[in-house]
Amino acid sequence: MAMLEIRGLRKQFGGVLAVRDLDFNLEESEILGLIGPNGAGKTTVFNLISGFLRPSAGEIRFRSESLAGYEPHQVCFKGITRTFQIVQPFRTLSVLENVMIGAFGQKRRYRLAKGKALEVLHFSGLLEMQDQEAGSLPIASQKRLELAKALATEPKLLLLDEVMAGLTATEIAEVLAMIRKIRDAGITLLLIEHVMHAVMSVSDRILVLHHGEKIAEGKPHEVAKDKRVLDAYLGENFMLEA
Amino acid sequence: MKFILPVLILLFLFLLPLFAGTYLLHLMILIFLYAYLGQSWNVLGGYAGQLSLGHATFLGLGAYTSTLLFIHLGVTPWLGMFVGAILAALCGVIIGFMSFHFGLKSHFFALATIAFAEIFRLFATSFQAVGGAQGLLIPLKGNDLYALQFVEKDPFYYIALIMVILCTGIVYLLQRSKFGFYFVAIRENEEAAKALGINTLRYKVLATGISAFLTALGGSFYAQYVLYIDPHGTFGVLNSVDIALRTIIGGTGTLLGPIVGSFVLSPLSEMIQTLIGVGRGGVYMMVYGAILMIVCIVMPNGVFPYIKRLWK
Repeated sequence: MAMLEIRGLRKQFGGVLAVRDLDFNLEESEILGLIGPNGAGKTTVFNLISGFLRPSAGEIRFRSESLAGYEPHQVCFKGITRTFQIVQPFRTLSVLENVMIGAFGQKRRYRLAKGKALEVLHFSGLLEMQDQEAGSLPIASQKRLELAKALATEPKLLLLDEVMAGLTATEIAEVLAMIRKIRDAGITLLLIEHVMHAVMSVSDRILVLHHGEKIAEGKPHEVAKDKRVLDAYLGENFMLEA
Repeated sequence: MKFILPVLILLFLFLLPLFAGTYLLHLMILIFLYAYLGQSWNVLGGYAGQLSLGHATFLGLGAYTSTLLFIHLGVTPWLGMFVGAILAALCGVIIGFMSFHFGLKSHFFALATIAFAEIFRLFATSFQAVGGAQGLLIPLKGNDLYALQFVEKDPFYYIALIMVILCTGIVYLLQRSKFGFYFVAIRENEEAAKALGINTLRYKVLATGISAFLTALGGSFYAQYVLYIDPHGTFGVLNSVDIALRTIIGGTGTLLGPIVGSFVLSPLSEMIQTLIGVGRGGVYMMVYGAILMIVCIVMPNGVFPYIKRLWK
C-alpha cells in the first residue's frame, strides 16, 4: 500500500485547469521529485495535498485515509508538513523560536519544545544562529530555517517547495546532504525543484508535470531521455551528469 | 544584577502612598488602570496581532455586571467582577469567532470590534433596566471591603498596582507557553502558522477570550473607583482607543510596552488638560494628537523598544 495515493486530482481556477486528472503514488521512505516548467501546476499540487486549496475533483489518500475536507493544520497533524516556495519566516522571532513553533505541535511543554527545536537546529546546521532574528538571516539560512521549522513538526511526509532555488553550488550540496539524512531518518519526501542536476541526483523517481498534466514518470535517467519531457521542459541539449 | 532596577522600582511604588498626596495617588491609579487595560489588550492586539478597537465592550461588560449584581442582588464586586469577566470572555469568543470565521483581518476586524462596542453602548443607553443614558450610581458604603469601596485612595492604589503586576505575570507566562508562541506565529505569518499545524481560528478566538476576560476585571475596578458608570464612559469608542493607544505607543507585543505607554500617555493627557484647560474648544486634544504623531514618527515600534535599543 502506497503512503500517498493521488487519484484523478483536478483543480480548476475559473477557466484554467491548473491540475488535470493527476494520478500518482508515493511509497514509504521514497524521494519523489516533481518537476516541470513554470505554471505547470506543481505548487498547486502541494496546496491541494496540504489542504490550502480544495480539489475540484479527485482524491488524496494518506496511509489509506482520505484527506478530503481537511484544513491545513489537520493535514499537518496527520503527518504531512509543507514548506513554501517563498520563505515564510516569523520575522521578528529568533531562529530558535521559529523552530519551537513547529515543535509545539507534538511537544506541549516549553522545555520539551525547546529541546526538540535545538535537536532540529543541530541537524540542520543552524545551531550557531539560534538567537538571530529570522528576518535578518541570509537567504540560504532562511531556506534552511524553512526546512527546520517543518522538520520540528515531526512529519512522516515532507513537501519541499524549491528549497534549493537561489542557492550557490556549495549550499545546494549541503541541502542535498540534508535531504538524504532526512530520508535516512525515515521521512518520505516530495520535492518541487528547478535545479535539475540536484533533483535528478537525489530523487528515486521523477514526475514531470506540463500544463497540469503528468507527461512522464520514472527513474531520473529514464525521464531525462523522454522525448516529451525534453520538448516541454528540459530542452533537447539536456544531458544528465553521471 | 538584572533584577535590581525592577525590584527598586517596585519597592518605590509600594512605598509611594506613605508620602504621596491625594492627587498624585489619583494620577498613579489612572496610570495603573490603563497599564492594566493595555496589558489585557496586548494579548489580542499585541501578541496575536489582531487590532481591536472595541475593547470598551469588555470594559463595559465588567463594569455593568459587577455594578448591577451589587445594586440588585447585593453580590460583592469581588465576585461580581469575575462573573463579568466570564461574561466578557464568552462575548469575546462570540465576537472573535464571528469575525475570524469570516476571515476579517486588520482594519476590517477593527471596524467589526468598533461596531460591537457601539451595539452595547446603544443597548445600554436605551435600556432603562440597566440605567439608560443616565447610567448607574453605585450606593455609597463608606469604607467597606465587602463592597470594594474605600474613602481613601491608598487601597485603590494597592489593588490597581497588584492588578498590573498579576496581569503582567500572566502575560509573561503566556509569552513562554505554547499559546503565546502560537499567538505570535499567527501575528507574524498566518499561512506559515497553518502549515505548521496551528489551528489559527481557534487560537485567535482564544486570544480574544483571554483578552476580554482580563479587560472586564479592569472595568469592574473602574466602576468601583469612580462609583458611577454610564454608557458613554464605559462602552464609548474613546475608551477603546485609549486602551489600544497606551500599548501602541508603549510597544505592542512587548511585556512592558503597555506599562511604559501608560506612564507616558496617562500623565501627558492629564497635564495637557490642566495646562491648557478642557474648555477652549478642544485645543488640548489637538496638542495631545500632535504629540502622539511625533511619538509615532520618532518611535514607530513604540517607546519601550526604543528605550531598550538606547540601553544597548
